Amino acid sequence: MTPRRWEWSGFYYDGRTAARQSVTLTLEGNRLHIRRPDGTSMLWPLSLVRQTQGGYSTEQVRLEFGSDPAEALLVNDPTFVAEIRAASPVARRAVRRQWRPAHIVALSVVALMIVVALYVWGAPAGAVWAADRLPKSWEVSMGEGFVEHLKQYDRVCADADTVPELQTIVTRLTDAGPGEEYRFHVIVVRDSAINAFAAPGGYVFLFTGLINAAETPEELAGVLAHEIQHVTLRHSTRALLREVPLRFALFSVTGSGETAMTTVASLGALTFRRSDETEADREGMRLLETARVDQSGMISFMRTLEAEHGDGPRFVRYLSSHPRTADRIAELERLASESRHETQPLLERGAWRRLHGLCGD
Amino acid sequence: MDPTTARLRYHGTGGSLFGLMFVNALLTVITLTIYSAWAKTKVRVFHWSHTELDGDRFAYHGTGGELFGGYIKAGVVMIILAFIFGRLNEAIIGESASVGAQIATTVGFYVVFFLLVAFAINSARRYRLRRTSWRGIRFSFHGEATEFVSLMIRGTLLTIVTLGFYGPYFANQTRAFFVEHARFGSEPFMYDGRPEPLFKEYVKALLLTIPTLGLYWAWYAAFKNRHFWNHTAMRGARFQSTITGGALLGLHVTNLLLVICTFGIATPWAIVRMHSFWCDNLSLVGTVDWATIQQRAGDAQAVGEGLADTLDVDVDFGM
Repeated sequence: MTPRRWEWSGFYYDGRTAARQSVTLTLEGNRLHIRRPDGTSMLWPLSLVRQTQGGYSTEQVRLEFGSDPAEALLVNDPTFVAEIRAASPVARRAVRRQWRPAHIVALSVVALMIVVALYVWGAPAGAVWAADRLPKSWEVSMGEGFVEHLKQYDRVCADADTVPELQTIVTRLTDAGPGEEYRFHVIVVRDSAINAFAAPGGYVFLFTGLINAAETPEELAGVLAHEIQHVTLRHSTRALLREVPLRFALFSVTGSGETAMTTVASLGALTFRRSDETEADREGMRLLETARVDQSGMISFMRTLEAEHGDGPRFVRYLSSHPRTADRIAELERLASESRHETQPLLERGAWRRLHGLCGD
Repeated sequence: MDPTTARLRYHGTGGSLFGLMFVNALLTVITLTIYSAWAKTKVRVFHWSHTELDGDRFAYHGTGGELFGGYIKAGVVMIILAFIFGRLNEAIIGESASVGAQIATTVGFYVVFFLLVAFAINSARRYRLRRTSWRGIRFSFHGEATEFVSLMIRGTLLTIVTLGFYGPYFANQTRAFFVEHARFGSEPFMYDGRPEPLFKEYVKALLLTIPTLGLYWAWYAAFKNRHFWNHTAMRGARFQSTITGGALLGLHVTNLLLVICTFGIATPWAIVRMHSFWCDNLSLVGTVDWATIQQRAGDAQAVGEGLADTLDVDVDFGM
């Protein structure tokens, strides 16, 4: 079978001068035959031809051959690409198909889906994997970053080490806890929001708003047990690591000077997964049981939160990242009904009142 | 022969540039910014191959690999400098040393930074022009770094001492340096712009700043562009710029609105509008016998390019 012969017109540049020469192109086997008006001609083997322009329909098709100086051929003929590609497999390799808007859109969508998939599934899985292997000292220094950040804004008002009433509660829980894995620092933050959060490495932050909203020491202990379990189960470390790819992505796109670490250190950065919350609830209840703290405190505090939920936006913050409060209460009640343990009171009334006035709130 | 006019035209469309920039952004994110060198090169190839002069497109021959190598080298230079100055700072603070030593370190840092920027601008121009071709012939730039650095030092100092009034003279000298050291193949470009008209327009712009609420600077920018191009020549042919202040201001205002109103999504369209505007207002008047213009050998490194990027210097192509 003899290949069909097509003919196209183009311009040829010899690479030595800037003169433009009109030429006629034909395909001979796997070679491009270039004929000048003066009758002379050249043969370019297609396997040695490079295409440097012509990927877009708004570009000329530009073929180069040789080097230093390269010879160039520019083809304006709109049918050239489709026809030469149809001629032979070698030609198909030498001359690219032109991008159509549909191709670009399709490629963009695929690329976007890969990024989203990496972020939605890859990052959490990677975070769990990395969090379990991260040295404890790294976790501790990440937690210290949070403390430094809050100190900058003059928000830290007390450390549980210096508040005996609070330390009593913390020690009861940590003594009953899963061993010496972490040394816990409970830090009181001056803020009227009903909020508490756990940073990696054993740093638990209690907002004064939450202390004041708690009616009994057992309610406060319930929250603390929950947060302590977030640390022990490395939920905080995972949440922080999950943030890393997104922060890095934002950084690489915007190129802004705000470093990943300072953004991560901001308070809003830690969001737990629903399953993390459920796990921390369950393990928190177990910790209360071992520490012989009345579990009903945890449940009644959740009720307080539920009742005040619609009261104002400041409560929403504590609730938003958590599963539905009603579901959690139901689950907590089920857990409480299963355990039959003796309880010991945590604090006497005077000590509890002193704790309520902490930080002058 | 009658003088003929070779027109510049830009053929890029916002849609294709958007697709290119979008894919670039995604790949940059996926590769943790490593792809940015390739992304930048792709955008440049796009602009060059969509710019036409007298029926023929420009071509960009730089590669992402070269640019990436440049970034790496520039990064090493920056790390070494940061290390040296960090140590120097520590030493000074450690001794609770004299104010003089502290000032010397600070000044030293800025001087080194300034020299690097000047060096980067010069080498970036070398790299870019060397990798640009038209009708198969490469451009090149032969400005010496030492010469450019001394030009920059003198110009900056004089501009500061004269409270900015030396600025137009400095701009004219810089332009002369850029044009006179540029070549198309064997053919040098020539610049015969005098600084005085630029200075007069500068004083006028200063005086009209308050009455026109600063808008007159658009007319100054247009004047400067016309002054620069209308005094740039090559083998008897001369460039001609027809940019006007009103058109320039209109372009910038509409582009700004376009970008803001679409939350940045229309940025590629704004870029295309800008390129079209520059090209539509520039032409080469005169007859050039292109067959007599020869190719020249030579090469340039991508280090300056990387350095310019690391230092965040905006090196414009002069279009």
